[in-house]
Parts: sequence; structure tokens; C-alpha cells
Amino acid sequence: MADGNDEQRQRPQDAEANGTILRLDGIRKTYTNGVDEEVLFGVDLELKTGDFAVLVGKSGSGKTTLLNIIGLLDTPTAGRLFLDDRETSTLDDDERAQLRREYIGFIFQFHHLLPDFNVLENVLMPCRIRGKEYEEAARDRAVEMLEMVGLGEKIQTPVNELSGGQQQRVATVRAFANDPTVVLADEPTGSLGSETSQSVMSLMREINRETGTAFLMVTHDPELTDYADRVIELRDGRIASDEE
Amino acid sequence: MIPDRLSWSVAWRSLLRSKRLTALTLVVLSVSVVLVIFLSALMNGVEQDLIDETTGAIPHATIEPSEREPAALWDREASDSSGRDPVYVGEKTTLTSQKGTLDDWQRWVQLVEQFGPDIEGVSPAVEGQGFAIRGEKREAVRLYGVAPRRYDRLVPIQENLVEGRFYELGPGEITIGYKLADKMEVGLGDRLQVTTPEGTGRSMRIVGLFDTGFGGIDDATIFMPLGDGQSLFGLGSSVNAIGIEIRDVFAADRLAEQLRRQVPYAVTSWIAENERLLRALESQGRSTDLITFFTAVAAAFAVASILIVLVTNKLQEIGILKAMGATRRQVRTVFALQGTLLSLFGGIIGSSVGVGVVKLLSGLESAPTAGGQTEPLFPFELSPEMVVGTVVGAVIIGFVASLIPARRAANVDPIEVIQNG
Repeated sequence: MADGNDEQRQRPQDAEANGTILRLDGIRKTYTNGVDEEVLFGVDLELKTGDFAVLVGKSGSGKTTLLNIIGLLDTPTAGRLFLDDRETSTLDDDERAQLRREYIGFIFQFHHLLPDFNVLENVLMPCRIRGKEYEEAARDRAVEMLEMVGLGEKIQTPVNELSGGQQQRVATVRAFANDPTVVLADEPTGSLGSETSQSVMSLMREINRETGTAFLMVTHDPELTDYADRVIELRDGRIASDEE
Repeated sequence: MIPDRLSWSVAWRSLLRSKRLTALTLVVLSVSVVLVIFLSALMNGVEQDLIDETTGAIPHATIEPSEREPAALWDREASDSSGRDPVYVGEKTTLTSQKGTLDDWQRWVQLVEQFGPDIEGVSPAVEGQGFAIRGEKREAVRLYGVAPRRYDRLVPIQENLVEGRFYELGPGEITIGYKLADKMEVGLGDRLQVTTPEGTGRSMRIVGLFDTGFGGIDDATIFMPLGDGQSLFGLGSSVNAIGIEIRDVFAADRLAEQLRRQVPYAVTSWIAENERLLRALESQGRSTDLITFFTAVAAAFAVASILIVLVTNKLQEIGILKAMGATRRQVRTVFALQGTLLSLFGGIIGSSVGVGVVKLLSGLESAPTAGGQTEPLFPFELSPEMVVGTVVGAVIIGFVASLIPARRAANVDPIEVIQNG
């Protein structure tokens, strides 16, 4: 307990000094569906502002589980996760939801847009969840980003009238609408053709450079690692390599 | 659970997009509301009608001389049996002549009049059985000696006159029911011999005919001035009944109870004398409540199950919203709002249709009586409070029914729906 307090007292200075926004400390995950199945065996990881990292590994290596834990969608069985110096393992559902909407942007494998809303509304949805004032404040930036990805003409179009590539671009812009600290992407190009994949990747890279938003992307497409500054390989629930 | 912009927009858009489910829910709710409004209006109307029918032609409460109870033989003391008082053996009867009188009636009329604002009319009267005779024709009738303006507040005669007059009855003049006039084959200006069972009688002139719609009154009632009644029945300056009309007919029992403590006579209320009717109305009211209750339960289940389908259809979107940081409360509010909105619109549509149907049907009238009076075919009684109450009830049901689906939605785990693509 005393250690924890010391750590918490010191961390802000550390974080300021080295720009760490996310720290995983011995994260373990065991699924108990009748039989215990351990997926993550003590993962330590740090993510800094401006990082553009790719998480690779065979299927079943625990990539998506790790990403869900980092995204506060899932809770670790053991270990601690610090998000902007806040220890998250003791938080309840709604507190984690609040952190998600303030710090994290998600890009899912399937675009997961809301079909009842148009392009701009979908992009602004994370802000709407946070509150009306955030939505108003983010509107201009959202339109600007949509123009950047070539959807400036379609901001009022219902999302189900867009092509797959266009939808994934909307989903990408949505992940940045709330000005998150970290963007987590799970196979963001998995459902796209190679040309569209490249344009989406370029877009992410551009936003990363422009805003300094940290980026962690799960993929098993080796081509995409070319875009990354850092490649983290997960093998059997452990980090096998972490190279800049 | 105050809905924010997110809850409003998600709830509203998904209702607009799920057109079939929305329409289905609205139909179910509207039909339930129509049913409840129609049924309540009809039952209230029937009840009101029956009560009007029952109380319309009688005073709500009556002060009468106490009936003289015959003393039982075995109650008489031995010393009396040989003595002065005669012993009567037989059935208890209440012949008018034996009924006794209210001598100081002015005092009691005044007392009742000052009883409160609920008293709508107080009318001293001389009442009794009698006969109307003309030539060979002889009909048993009920004779009333009344002050017409006072009596009119108990049973409206003046406004139901077919011809002639009632208010300005002079000595020797009578106003009679139109059916009685038909039976006796007499008309305005004709004379009738009016006699009591004791044989006292006089010839009186008909100056008015009325049609109250109450059979018992229209075919066997004769009104005459109070003075004529008193002399006909030999009551001097006394009367033998004081009729009382009050605003709330159901307060009659309470009033009678209060009067009984202050008046040295018998006080009866219409309620005590119509217990069977009231019990029938009560059980009718209970069955209406029961039908309303089951309609509400059915509507609630319908709304709940449709909302569960809506939640199931929206699982993925709920997961996305939660992943992006929507709280359980925000998600719950979306579905509670949908239930409430659906039932509000269902309630408004249903009540509009219900009121329309009731208005349409209450325009239908039965065939007119001989006196030219018509009555509505369906005796609806529709009050704004009842309509508003039904809509409010529907909204509450919609809200409550949405809570289970809303909880289910709030419990959605974003990981599952996201991974299932």
C-alpha cells in the first residue's frame, strides 16, 4: 500500500519527464469457462505520447485481449494498468466508461458505425456521449478532418449509403473526434482492400504526426508494420519483442 | 433518469427507423387505450344513468314520522293485559292515515336548509295513496300536496311539462302525469275526482301535464297545492314528509345519519332503500377495474416484448456506444425513453380515437317516447380527468414496461458484440 502511494506520488513527474501516458504492470488474464485458460502471462508495456505502435502476433497470442484490457473494455485478472497516472483496476463500469470517453479512441475491425445517424453525427458521437458542449466544440474540427479524408461532401449522408472504405474512414475520423490521448485499433484494415487499407493507414499516420496522439494497432498484416515506429510482438501471452 | 441529447437522439432515431415495430407498439397501445376509455365511459354512463333513474324521481333523503311499532303481546306486562289499552293482533301496516304527522315541520325545514351548501332543495309534502275517478274509470294514484317551486328542486316537473303549468298551482288545481291523463282520457281543463282511501274526496281541475320519463311518476302521480293536500288527508297544518335533495347523491346516507341525531323523526336515505342496486353497481365497477387492469397488464407485456426485440436488434449499436464511453445509465435512459415516448404517442392516439368513438356513438338516440323525449342509445359519461388519467396511466405502464429491456441493454458487454462483428 505504501509502495503504491509512493509510486503514485512520483509518477506525475515521471510521466511529464518521459511522456508516458499508459503503463501496464504485470497484466495477467485468465478466462474461466469451466476450465481456466490463461491468455496473458504478466505483460509490462509503456506507451508514450506520439507513439505509433503496432502489436503483432499469431492468432490466439492474446493481442485482442490485451487491446481490450488497455481500452478498459475488459479487466485484467491480475496486474495494474495506469492511464495518465490513474490506476484503473479498482474502477467500476461507469468510471471506466468515463475514462474511455475522455482518453481513448477506438477503431474496430468492422467499422461499427451507427446506421441511424449520418456521417458527421457518427463522427461526433463520442462527443455527444460526453455532453452537448463537447459536441459543439468538436464540430468544426470534425468537419475539417472529414474534408481531409475526402468526405467533406458527404457529412450529411447516412452512413449506410457509403462504401466500405468510406465507412472505415468515417470510423477512423470518429476515433479522433474527442481528441483522445490514445487511439486503439483492432485490425482497422482487416475488412478493406489493399488500396483503401493504405489510405486509411496514411490517414492514421498523418493524424498521429499532427496531434501527437499515441497509437496502438493490432494487426497480422506484415505490410502495415512499415508504417509503425514501434513493433511489439506478442507470443503466447508474453511480449516477445518490442523494437523501435 | 433525465435524458440527455445522446439518449434522445438514439431513442428517437431508432424508433423512426424501426417503423414496423414502432407502428405495432403504437397500435397495441392505442387499442388498449381506446378499450379502456370506451369501457370506462360506458360503465360510468350506465352507473350515472341508473343512479339518475333511481334518484331522479325520489328525494335523496326523507324525514318521516316514525312508524309506530306494534308491541308484542309477550312484552306486555301482566297487569296491563286486563287493562285499559286495547290489544291489536295482525300485520304491521303503514296506512297514510296511521302514519302520523310532522307538526312543527317549518322548524325542521329551516334546520335542513341551514345544514350546508350541499343541500340543493328541501320540500315539505303531504303524500298518500288515493284514487283518480272520472265516470267509470278509476285509477290508483299517488297524491302529493306540495309547494311546487320547492318540490321542483327534488323532482323536476316544471321543465318536463308537456303543456299547462305546475309552478302556479291554485286551490283546486292539479298537475298530472301524461300517461295517467291518457289512461283516464282527460286533458288540460278537464276535472278529476280525487279521493283518499278513507273516502274523502273532491273534484279538481287539471292545469298541467308532465312527462318526466320516469314511468312510475308519469302514469300514477297527481300534484296539488300543499293546502289542498293537507285538507284532503285531514292533516290540518301538518305535513307527513320532508324531502331533501343533495348535490352528491352518495352523501345521502351520511346526511341521514347526521339528521337522525337532531330530528325526532325517522330519516331515510335512498341508499338504504336501494342497497341491491348499489351493490350491483359496485360489483360492476369492480369488474370494470379488473378489465382495465388486465388490459394494462397485456399492454405492458406487449410493450416490454416489443422493446426486447428492439434491444436485441440494437445490441451491436449499444455495444459501440458503451465502448465509446456511454454509461449504463445513458443506455438505460435510451430504452426507458423509448417506452415512455411510445406509450405517450399510443396514449394520445388511443385517447383521440376513443373520445371520437364515444362522441360518435353518443350521438345515436333511442326512439322517442310518447311525450317526445329521446334518450341516448349509449349512456356514455366521459370526463377530461378520465381521459387524461388514461393517457398518464399508459405512459406509466410504458415506462415501467421498458425497465426490463432497458436493464438488459445496459448490461450489454461491448466486447462480445464488437468481436462478433
